[in-house]
Amino acid sequence: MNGWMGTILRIELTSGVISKEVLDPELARDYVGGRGLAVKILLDELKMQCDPLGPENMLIFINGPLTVTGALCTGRYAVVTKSPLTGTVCSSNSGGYFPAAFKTAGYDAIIFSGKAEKPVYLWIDDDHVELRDASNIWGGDTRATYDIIRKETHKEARVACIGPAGENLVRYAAIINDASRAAARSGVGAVMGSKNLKAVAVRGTKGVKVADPEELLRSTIIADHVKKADLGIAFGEFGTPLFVDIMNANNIMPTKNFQEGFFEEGDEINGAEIIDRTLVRSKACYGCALNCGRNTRLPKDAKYQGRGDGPEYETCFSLGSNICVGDLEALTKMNYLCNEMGMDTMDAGTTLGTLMELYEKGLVKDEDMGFPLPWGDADNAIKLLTMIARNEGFGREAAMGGKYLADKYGAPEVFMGSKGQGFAGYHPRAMVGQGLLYATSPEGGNHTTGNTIQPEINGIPGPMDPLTSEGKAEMVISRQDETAFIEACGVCVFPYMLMEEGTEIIAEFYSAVVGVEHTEDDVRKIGERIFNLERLFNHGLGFTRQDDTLPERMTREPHTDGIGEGNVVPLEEMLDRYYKLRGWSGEGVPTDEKLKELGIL
Amino acid sequence: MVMRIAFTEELCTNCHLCSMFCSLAFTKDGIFEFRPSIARIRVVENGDDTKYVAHVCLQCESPACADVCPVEALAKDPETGLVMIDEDECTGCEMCIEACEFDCLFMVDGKAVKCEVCDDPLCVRACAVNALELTEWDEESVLEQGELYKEVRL
Repeated sequence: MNGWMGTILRIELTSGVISKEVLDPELARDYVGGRGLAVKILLDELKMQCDPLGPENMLIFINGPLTVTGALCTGRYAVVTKSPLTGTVCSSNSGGYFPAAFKTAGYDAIIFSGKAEKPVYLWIDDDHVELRDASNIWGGDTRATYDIIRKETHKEARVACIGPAGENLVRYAAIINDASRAAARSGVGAVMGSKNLKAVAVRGTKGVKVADPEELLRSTIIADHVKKADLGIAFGEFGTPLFVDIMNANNIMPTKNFQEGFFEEGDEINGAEIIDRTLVRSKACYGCALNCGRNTRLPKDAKYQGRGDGPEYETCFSLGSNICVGDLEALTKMNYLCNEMGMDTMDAGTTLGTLMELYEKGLVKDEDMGFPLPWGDADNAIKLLTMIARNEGFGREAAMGGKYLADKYGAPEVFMGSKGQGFAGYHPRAMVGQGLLYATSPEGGNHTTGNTIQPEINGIPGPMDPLTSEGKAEMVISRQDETAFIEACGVCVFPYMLMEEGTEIIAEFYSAVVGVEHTEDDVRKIGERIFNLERLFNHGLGFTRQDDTLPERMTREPHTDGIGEGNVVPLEEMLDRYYKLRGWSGEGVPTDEKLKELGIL
Repeated sequence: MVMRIAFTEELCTNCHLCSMFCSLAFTKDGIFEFRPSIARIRVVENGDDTKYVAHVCLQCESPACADVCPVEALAKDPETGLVMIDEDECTGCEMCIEACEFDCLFMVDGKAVKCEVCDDPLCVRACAVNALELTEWDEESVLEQGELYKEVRL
């Protein structure tokens, strides 16, 4: 097959049985790969009511047909499972070098089921696949695990693993690959930990066949074009922390647990500051021309020490402005700690934000935690992050996430998220389409299922008022569908979302790789099919309109800053139109008619 | 004049696009595939992720690889000055791999392979940060690149 490797690997951890099966070409055609194909597999096979942290849950590692093909930014994979944080289906994706190794070893997906009796890791050397004892590395942080496994297997091995947070079932534990990249969200690391699976190490030497290499050579020209666009230049130079300036300038930088939209110390934690103080060098994921990654190191004379990657923008928000930490070194330290412990920086930050507000209100006290936790207290935040990952003291409670804490301590309104997952770093009160996106995303407060920055803030393709509901349902639907397709291809959303003609370009690349002509409309249709499939999955678990919510802070408390001052998110109004345009019932359920149209029924 | 692929370490981002596109030039039998493991250029990281180094043949003036080859499969082309490998002659003994102190030959499917400088090198075209360049051979830059290769081994 062009694009796909044609083989799915199955690892039944309870019995230790390893098997390989042929990828069904029809499923590949209809659901592509990544979250699309994986959700289809889950819908067909998973006992939906299962405990996400029980042996019945399935954990799928999956790349896409464009991974390692020379199209733009093709170094990604996704982890798809039933989330222990949200209870929904979830997809968490990551770049780095592991995804390319995983694909070139010859597999489109690895499906884990069951639970190993004792800690194991999976070693894949092309066709050779074996489960190995991981007792000696259980408990280790992600960098140590990476180093040890590379020594035990092959110097070219690429490793994805969990840290103590995943082992201890922290509800927002991540899977860290290449010691610094994260499939971070929705607690995929906890699912891996619940299966006693410490790591997956891979070495791949096979090739990915493509139908039309000439067309793919054009990607180098397009990459040049992306890099020369204003945003592209700034992106290459400053990485994602460039967004700190954009969000602050537009008063959508979530600050103090989303109470505000402007962070006064933004200049202390932005891309320029990273270049000045911590940057070692820029780096790219495998097969990516954009190099937005940041290899950093804390200065020798700094209060905190360490090395690693980041922070990325989302962390500048979550563990920076969101908890009022304007000290780049402290923020960077927290980022390293989350990576080493194997924890999502975003939900770690929104959990701390919830907790700091509960503390401010006097609902959580010093004696509950063993220490105070006022806004901006980086030292105690660092202490708490370690306690969360290590399952110590109050860390056990904080490990359950912000929603749990807000409910338990009697102020459910202070959790800033949707479906139990914390929001990303875009304040919806002054870009209300983003609010609709958070409310309707399959896994709640998520920034990768179709960010609305380009249309709402940067005015691409045309001017759009970020404060009103006008055109938002249409825009969010198209962003969600396009993104679903892009992610299913196993590529990074960035270049395609940066370019006005991104959907056209991904359709061309997809056609060139698989050898079947696809138009923009064709790929949007596939995206819509995937998005509806996820909705169908969640509906099967009882999720409806009553779960497509935002906290009252978004819908009732007026925005405090900038042109959006006084604004709130008109969610219900947008939802009505959104469901109608989606072809769903007023309760947000896909109709049979829609499902038939999409070929799902 | 002798041409070679020059590499500037400071610009490299470790994206591996060079080896991906290089491999495309060497796929066979009308099948096009991206298979970095057959590439004639390989990127490696140093231990602490502070250097990324693309190993690609320096086209040495007196190539050690050719000197040790027991079947004379490796030789300098008198016209282009490039070190060329005769795939049919190569027995896969790996002596050239051992002899190259710059780690610029690689084993692929039982045979040694190396960069023989394509006319319009895809690695150079694919490099988005201009870390690779098709340039004229000169001793100073070759020595410098060679030192880097000895420091960050394959």
